[in-house]
Amino acid sequence: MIVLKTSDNETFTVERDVAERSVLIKNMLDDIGENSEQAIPLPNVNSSVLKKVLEYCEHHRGEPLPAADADTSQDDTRKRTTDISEWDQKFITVDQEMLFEIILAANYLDIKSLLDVGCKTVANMIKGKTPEEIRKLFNIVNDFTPEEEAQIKKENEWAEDR
Amino acid sequence: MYTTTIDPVIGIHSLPNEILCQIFLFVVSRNPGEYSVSELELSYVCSRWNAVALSLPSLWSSICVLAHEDSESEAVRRLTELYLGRSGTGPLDLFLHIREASSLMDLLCTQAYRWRRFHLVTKAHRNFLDLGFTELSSLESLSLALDDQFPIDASSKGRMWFNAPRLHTLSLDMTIFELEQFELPWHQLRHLRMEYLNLDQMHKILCLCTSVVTATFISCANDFSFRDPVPYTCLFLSSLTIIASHRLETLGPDITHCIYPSLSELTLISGSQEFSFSHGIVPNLTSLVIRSGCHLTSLTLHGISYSSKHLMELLQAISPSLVKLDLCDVDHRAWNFLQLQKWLIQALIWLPTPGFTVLGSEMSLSQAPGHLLPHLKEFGIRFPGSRRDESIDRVKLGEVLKMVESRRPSSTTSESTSRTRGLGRSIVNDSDTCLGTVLETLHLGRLWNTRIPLEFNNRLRALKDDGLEITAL
Repeated sequence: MIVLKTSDNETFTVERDVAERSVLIKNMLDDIGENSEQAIPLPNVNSSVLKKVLEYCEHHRGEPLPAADADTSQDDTRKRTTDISEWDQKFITVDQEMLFEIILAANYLDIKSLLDVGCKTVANMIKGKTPEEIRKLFNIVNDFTPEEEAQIKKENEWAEDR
Repeated sequence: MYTTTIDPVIGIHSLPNEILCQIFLFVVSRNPGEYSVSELELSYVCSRWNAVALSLPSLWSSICVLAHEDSESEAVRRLTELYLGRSGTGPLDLFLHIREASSLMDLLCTQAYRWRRFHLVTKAHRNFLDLGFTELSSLESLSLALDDQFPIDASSKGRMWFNAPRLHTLSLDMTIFELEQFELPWHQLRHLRMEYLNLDQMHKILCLCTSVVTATFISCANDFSFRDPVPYTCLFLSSLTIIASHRLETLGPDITHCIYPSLSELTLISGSQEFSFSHGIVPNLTSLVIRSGCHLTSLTLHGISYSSKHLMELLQAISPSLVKLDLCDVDHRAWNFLQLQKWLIQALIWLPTPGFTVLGSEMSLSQAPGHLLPHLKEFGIRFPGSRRDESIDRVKLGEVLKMVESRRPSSTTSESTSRTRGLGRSIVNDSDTCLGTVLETLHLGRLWNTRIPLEFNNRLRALKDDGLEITAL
């Protein structure tokens, strides 16, 4: 069993194969050796997020991990679909704050499949929306300069005139 | 990096640029040729998103010109220039409906070395077989179709497409092209989709494409002069789809002599009424779909083994329209393993015959036996030559005989089919009984030559006397 310690000082005891869904934790375990009882500190993840992340790792335990060189190029990413499995979809149905926390935690812990699920979910939220709708959805401020606005207007006209 | 102390409210602004890039790439992911300006809209959200979008060349790699758009308009040209610039030196995916002599095409041709997918629908007023350059180092997928019916000059040759060392996917509309007009690196193609070929050309192409994995032939016509394809082997072909043309056609695609050792999925959507297929030459077949627009009437299956998993589904699906069913080389184990006997009893036999039981209970008329093959006139079942256990063959023969006897006109006049003798066609004239069509031909292969018990021999003779044509090897 492995002990993980979160940023808010909570500890989670998990089985090794569940924890090793995280490449970061796997590398740490490889470094500190088999029999260390030392808790692994995760200063960038709080307990509520780690609980959620571990739920994902538990569900997907035993599944093959992506190969080390599977860090797909951007071109490959373009071809990928935004389909999400039913369980993952249910799992990721959380409020926006938790969604972004999960994405950040997956990125920090290096859990590629979870990062993909998070990114796809955000992408699906964006798809089909106008820039104004996207701003409203994510509370983003339109901070373009007048010159940038003019350029955007021109491009927009080309797109509308075609 | 996220820390709760710096940023108490986590939002999309907390995500680092590399994650934003991943999200953007998921947003613009779409089917080939699907039009969207989502990359433009992403860049209009705020200055940070704009900077991230512009720093990501692959976001701008897809250029579309739709059928209703004027490729010569300033707007299309400006946007194309914008995308070409923003995509840097990366590969390009082009999905174009372009008319003749387009200056936009000239512009795109200057970047031909970057083309990764080139899908062109055009009118044939300009020769798009050869656009005058030789370097297509990035080309992976080529699709050419014409939305006009003018045939391209037969002397034109498409040599430029030969110099595409990465080309693996090809889609050609052969309405106006001749196969000989294309010099393509056929040997390296892995995915094929061809429209408006005939079966002769289909076999020719499959012969050339020694690496092909999936092949789809749409609106495939029959070449009536071509009946016996030259045997060839497609080592890697795992999925073959043949969709017949609507100008049909009485002879189905015959792939009996073609060897596809890796084929796992065969789909035939056809108006053809006749189909011959060797299961033995495609040992890995796990999926077999045959759909027939005007109902398959003739099915010949060779090499039926116990591993012919989808055989029963196939038979079940097409049996209502079959007039001829010829099961050649039925492996002894298939008889039991596939429950072929059980299916045949249900499919063939009409009347409850003493001694027949299905799942332990005697069959009754209410179970509608025979309904699976109501129009069958010709039936063949041939077991392989090996005779290790003659007694099994005798049992099989007995079962087959009972089924066949039940499909003769005499059987409709008597409950005891096996006892009926001498009721020739002169007595029962109707070729259809109240239950369906009577069987006219029986192919028994070697069974006829086996030393069979006298009783069976007499019954076969009686069937022959009754008007049933029996053939044997």
